[in-house]
Amino acid sequence: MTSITRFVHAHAVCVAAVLTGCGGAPSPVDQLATTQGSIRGAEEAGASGEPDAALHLKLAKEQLGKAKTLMQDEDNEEATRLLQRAESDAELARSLARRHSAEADASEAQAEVDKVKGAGP
Amino acid sequence: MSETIKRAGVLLLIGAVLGCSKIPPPKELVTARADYAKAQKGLAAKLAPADLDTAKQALDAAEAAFDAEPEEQRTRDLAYIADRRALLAEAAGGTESANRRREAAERAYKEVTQTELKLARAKVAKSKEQLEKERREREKAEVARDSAERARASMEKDLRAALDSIKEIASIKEEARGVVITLSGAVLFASGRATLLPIAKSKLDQVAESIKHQGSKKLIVEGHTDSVGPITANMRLSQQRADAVREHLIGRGIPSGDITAVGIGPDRPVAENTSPEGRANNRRVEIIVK
Repeated sequence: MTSITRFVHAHAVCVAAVLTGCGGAPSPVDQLATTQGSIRGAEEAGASGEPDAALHLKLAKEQLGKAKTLMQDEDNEEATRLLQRAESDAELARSLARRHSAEADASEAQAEVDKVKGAGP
Repeated sequence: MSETIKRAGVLLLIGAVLGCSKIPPPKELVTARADYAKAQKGLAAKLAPADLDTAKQALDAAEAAFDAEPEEQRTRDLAYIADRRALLAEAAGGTESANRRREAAERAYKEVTQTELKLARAKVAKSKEQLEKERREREKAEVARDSAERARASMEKDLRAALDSIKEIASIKEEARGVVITLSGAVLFASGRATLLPIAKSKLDQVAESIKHQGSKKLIVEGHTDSVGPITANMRLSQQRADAVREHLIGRGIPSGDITAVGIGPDRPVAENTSPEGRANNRRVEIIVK
């Protein structure tokens, strides 16, 4: 083994640590709260009532569930990743739900206009 | 070589080796790129620029991670998040578009209903006006009818009153030839004379008044006698008596053109000349009101 190879092997862990930032990560309690808030927001926006929104809400909840288990096992780095993913799914679910509502409202408003126009003199 | 320089050299070497290799992008990144491109082309650019910008930043972070560490989980995580952010931007654009459509529809609704309300109100106002006009015209017609009615009633009353007052000395009959007021000769004239007695004059005044109220009426004064005595004398007397009545009525305001006097003599008796009562009845003056 060359001196360089030995050097690399010796410092692999540190390099990996620098590159991936693993081990000794703090418990992501703040991120957990944020993610849970996003999920609630998506539910309140009616995400379960629209297929695409419901899908992303489901993904968010699944990843939240997995993250909680990982936190119990103190695998905080993995948990943080999953919580961040979950948050992005929940935010998307909320946005999709809001679009769905807004489109329904727009259609209803247009129907009202058509009704009065049709029934006009 | 110092430890620091050696370490830096190793890091650079690893970085170069990893960065320069043709490693295909993870599917998460491929998806994120595609979804961002779609969002950028759509409504988000104009209607949700902040969300689109956030998506761009997330994609840039994922690309940077891919350049630095293409096979690491972190790259895939960042790409996953970037993909969700791109989809969110697109959804936000759609939401804003729908909101604007809703607002436009609400404005149109308001406009239409306000227009219809205005038209309906104008219609109501017009019919009200029309009804009011008709009501006023009906009222006018009624008032006119009432006053004509009242005038006629008052004239009738006057005539009846006038005629009532002369009932004692006259009889009034409606015949085909008109209203016939028959005055007894004995009441009007002294026997054989053609001068009106005073009481007769005042009675005739009443007749004149009531006739004048009727408006312009044509009058015929007829003098009649019984069959006693020569016809020529009776003819002359009846003519004179008719004239006397005519003159008096003209004096009381009846236009001369409206009244004629004729002596009939004994030729139209109303009773038998064989009895005194009959003869008295025949000696009369008739005023025919046409």
